[in-house]
Amino acid sequence: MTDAPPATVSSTVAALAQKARKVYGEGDNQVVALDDVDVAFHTGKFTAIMGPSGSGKSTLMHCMAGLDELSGGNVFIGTDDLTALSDKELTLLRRDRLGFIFQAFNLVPTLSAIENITLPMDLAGITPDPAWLDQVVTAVGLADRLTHRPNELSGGQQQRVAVARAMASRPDIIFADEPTGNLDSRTGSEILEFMRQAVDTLGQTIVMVTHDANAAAFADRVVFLADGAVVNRMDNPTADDIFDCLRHLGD
Amino acid sequence: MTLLKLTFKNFLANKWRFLLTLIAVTLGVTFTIAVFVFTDSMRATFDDLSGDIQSGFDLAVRSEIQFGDRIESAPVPVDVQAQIAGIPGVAAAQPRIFELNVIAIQANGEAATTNGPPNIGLNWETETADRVLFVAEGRPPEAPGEISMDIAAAEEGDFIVGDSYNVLTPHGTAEFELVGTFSFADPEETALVGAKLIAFETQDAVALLNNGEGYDDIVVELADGADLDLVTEKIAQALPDGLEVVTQEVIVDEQTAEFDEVIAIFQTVLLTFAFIILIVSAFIIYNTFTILIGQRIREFGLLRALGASGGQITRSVILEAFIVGIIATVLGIIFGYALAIFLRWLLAALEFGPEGFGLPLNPATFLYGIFVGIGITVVSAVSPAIKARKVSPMAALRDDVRLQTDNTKHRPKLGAGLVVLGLLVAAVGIAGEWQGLLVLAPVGAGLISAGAKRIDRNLSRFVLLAVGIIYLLLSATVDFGTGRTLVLLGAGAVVTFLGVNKVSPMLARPVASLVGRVPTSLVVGILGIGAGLLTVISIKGALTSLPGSLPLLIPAAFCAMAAWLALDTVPAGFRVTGRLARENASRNPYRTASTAAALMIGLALVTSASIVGSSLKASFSDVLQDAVVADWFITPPGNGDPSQSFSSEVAITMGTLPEIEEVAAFRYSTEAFSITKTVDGETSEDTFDGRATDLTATDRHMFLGYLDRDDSLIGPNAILLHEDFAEDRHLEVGSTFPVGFNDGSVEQLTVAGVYSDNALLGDRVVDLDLWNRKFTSTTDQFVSAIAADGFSEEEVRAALQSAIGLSYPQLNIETVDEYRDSIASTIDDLLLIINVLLGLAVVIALVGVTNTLALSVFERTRELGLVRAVGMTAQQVRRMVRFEGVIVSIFGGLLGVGLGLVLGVIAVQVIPDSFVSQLDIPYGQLLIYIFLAAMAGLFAAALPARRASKLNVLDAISHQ
Repeated sequence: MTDAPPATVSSTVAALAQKARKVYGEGDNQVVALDDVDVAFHTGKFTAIMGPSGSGKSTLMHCMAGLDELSGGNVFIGTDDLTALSDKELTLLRRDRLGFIFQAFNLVPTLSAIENITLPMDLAGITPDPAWLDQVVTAVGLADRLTHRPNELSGGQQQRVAVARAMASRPDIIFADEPTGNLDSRTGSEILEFMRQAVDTLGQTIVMVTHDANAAAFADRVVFLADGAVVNRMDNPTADDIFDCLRHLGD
Repeated sequence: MTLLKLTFKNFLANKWRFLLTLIAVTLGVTFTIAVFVFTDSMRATFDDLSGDIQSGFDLAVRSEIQFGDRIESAPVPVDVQAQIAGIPGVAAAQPRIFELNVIAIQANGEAATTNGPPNIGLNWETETADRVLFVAEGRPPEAPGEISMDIAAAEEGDFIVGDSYNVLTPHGTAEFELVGTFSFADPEETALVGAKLIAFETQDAVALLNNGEGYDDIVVELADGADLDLVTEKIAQALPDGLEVVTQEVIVDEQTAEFDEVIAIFQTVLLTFAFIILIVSAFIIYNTFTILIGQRIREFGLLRALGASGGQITRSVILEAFIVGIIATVLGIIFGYALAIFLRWLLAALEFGPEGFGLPLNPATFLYGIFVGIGITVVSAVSPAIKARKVSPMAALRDDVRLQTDNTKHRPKLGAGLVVLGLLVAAVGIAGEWQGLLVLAPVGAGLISAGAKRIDRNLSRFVLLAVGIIYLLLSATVDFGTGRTLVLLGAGAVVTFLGVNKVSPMLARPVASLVGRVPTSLVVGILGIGAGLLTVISIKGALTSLPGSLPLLIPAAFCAMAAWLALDTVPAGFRVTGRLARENASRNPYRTASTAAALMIGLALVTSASIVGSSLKASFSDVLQDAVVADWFITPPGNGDPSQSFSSEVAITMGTLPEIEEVAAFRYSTEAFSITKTVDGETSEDTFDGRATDLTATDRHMFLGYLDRDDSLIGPNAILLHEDFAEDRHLEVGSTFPVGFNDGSVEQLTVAGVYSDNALLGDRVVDLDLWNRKFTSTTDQFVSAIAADGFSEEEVRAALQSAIGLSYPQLNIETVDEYRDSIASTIDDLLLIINVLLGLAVVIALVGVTNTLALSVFERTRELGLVRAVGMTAQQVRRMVRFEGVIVSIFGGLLGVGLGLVLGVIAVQVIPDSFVSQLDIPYGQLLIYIFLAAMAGLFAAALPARRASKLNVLDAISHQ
């Protein structure tokens, strides 16, 4: 495989990992978190990355989102090779082209909900489109809580603010790291519904890391990782299929 | 735009955490502003005064002097006045006489002296139309035996017009009739700055104040339409040799310059303290911001993940600092002005100066305030701001992150280069002038340290400390000349502080481990009991002598609180709470060290000042012990101020007493001689201070430690030299060399003796006869006397008291022991003032300790919630936090006192032997400082402890 983006990169591939390798430590203490992973994430699709703890799923996502550095291989957002970008360029890439939803600590405690939602655009100095902003806020159901600070919102409401923020700037990809991990199943389902809708009606690309089979069932495709390598791919998954696959991952 | 909004929001959300930082910076700015406002106003007042004193004339005729004090210059002969008055264009020629130490004795026998400003005797102007003195009551003095006094002095001393009073003049004491009072410069309101004036009729003044020899100067008023230059030239032509004519401007400028010199010294000293306070504030800001940023790592990580650049984050932090700085500056300017007003009131109440002088607010002062307030805050926040920038976006995702304290990469070549560069910079600084040294020495140290970090991270911790100590040792061992040595000492002190600060985390764990145990609890208990006793005593004292002693209730309240805090904390050392406190302090050595840092600086300064002061006292005591052979000392008030002197009549009168065997009078001038020096063909001329006495009597009164002498050479043209001066000029007993005087004459003086002990008589002593010929003043600066055999001390004292004590009530008549004690108490007073000023720095440091303790409590919210949930009572939590405060403060105290010891000892070495020759370490005082540090820790921790104990347990556990 060459280092140039493969011929299959087209408008259908939003992000691509090519022989991605991440190693921690040295010598006998070495831990291989990602073992030459090749995987593509397609535009307008909701992809879930699953695997047991230590499978490297979070590591993969962090490296693909430009939050962490690879030890070897390449990672592309669109046609941009992240390994060739400087810290400044990576930062700008995250600001302008990516959206994030984390499991916890998503919001800046001193800003109100609406200020948190527009934060990436404010950082870029862009005024958000008021109509779109309205639409997003209504979609997540936060219209009456916009001036509240995070400590005045419940966990579910905080995650909804995070989702709104991720969608407000219409990024190329939204990366979500265990977004429903801290939520009860009903609130979690609501969040996943928003994400599903964003993909269906707005063509948003979402990559989500999760260990919850029910959450992954919302996705169009599930990529399974174990011990730092891709071991399976499943399209149009049901929760049962996912459970099955997970059970056999140890084999 | 977001940056601003984010910053403001952060600031508002955290405003209470910034409060203590704000207090520290505000205090620093307040002090600085107060100093500038105060000295500006002093300068303005004295400038006005110069103008007032020297007004109402166009030209002045006076004797030419080459150098030195105009007070000592030759008088203008009386007949010159008629000469000048006769020159066309001259409307009036007014002779002036002006003499210091002319003091009136009040009806109750006390001398009407002032507490700093001069006592002046002058003549009443009669010739010129423009007046300086305006009659208030009665009339001006018109004949010998009459005087008139300034209104303020008359009122203060209850002098009544029409009565007769004794007045001390250089000529002796005599009785005068007070014929009137006057106001100075303004008929409505006297514009004197605390000085006291007595006016005599002109010829009387000549006789009494100038020894009958003539006028100090003659001022000339030009007629209308006269040409200044023309008249000046004519006067110059008419004058005999040795006299000159100058314009009024020259005189005003000279007067102003004289005042400015004194004010400048005053200002420099105060600004040094302000500088120290500011350094302590800077430390606190640095610590606060570092801690605050440590607490917000996850937030910074999130921002970075969302796309905030490192630069945006750094700018945001600096902006927060900027806001704190602005608020502090505004508050500081307001409080500083208020402080200046208070100082003015205080000085007037202590009779140190006038009441009504204005307090101008120059634009420059604003600039200084802004520069200091904002500058200090922002600069101190830069390093933490840069650390914030390095937070990686992953920080948002992890649960347990720490601020990366150091991730300098290993780059040995760059490191070596930086070290070499640093050495060069330091060397250049040391070799050059003091200004360069002040900047380059610390910069060099910084470069060396930065370089060392890149070579070997672990060893580099010690590098800064090592460099600092090397600077200190250099200043103590090599002679760079006073200015540069002191600057090197200062630079060495600062670098050593920083170095100790870097190393202190390593000491935090072992020391905290050692200190946080039962013995400390016991000590705290004992201190608590002591405070309790003090409380009882002060309350008793306050109640027994009401109402004036009510203020005693304030320290009583303090002691009571201290006692309660201390005794309540005692159990901690014996229980697990103490162990937790100890482990808390050990667990994060960086935080413990930074909490203690500001306290360390404050105590180091106070300790070194104490050591220097104690050594000063011991040296002086030593000196007096050895140097003085006589039994009695007569000195004027003012503690060695050469402008304070008294009539030679005193010595003469004493000589007539049967109780006194021999009297020796001593004269002193700071600019007495001009002596040339030729080195490698280059000749330079310098002025030197000198003393005079009867050289045949010196031995019996003073011990000079002669190294060599030849009694046959003692005579009017003899001179005694200190060994250092003799060596420097290659002079020995028998050498003859030229000495210049300020009247222009040069005498060949012969060295009759070389001595080693210069404490009392300085480096050069000449014969009294020679002195009297060269200098016009006939007053002595001090007199020593040997008692005759067969008289008891009381008898001698009684005789002296009746002979001169009554007529010269302002003089101190003391035995040698009493003299030594009074000097020691003067030094004590000086040290008290210094310690109070340094105490301000310590107070700021305590603010810093409270700040950090409060922040650290906040940081451990979850953990505190946990121990409360598991069963620790609120009281136990309070004890734990307070005990931790004690541990940290003792740590800071030990470091501070230790550092202060090193600095103090080195400072004593650096200070020239003529001031401090003996090292005396007041160990008792130092121990007290450490105890005080412990108590201070209790106070600092009191509020944080309270807050910690009041945390809602459930909220605390789920705190992020």
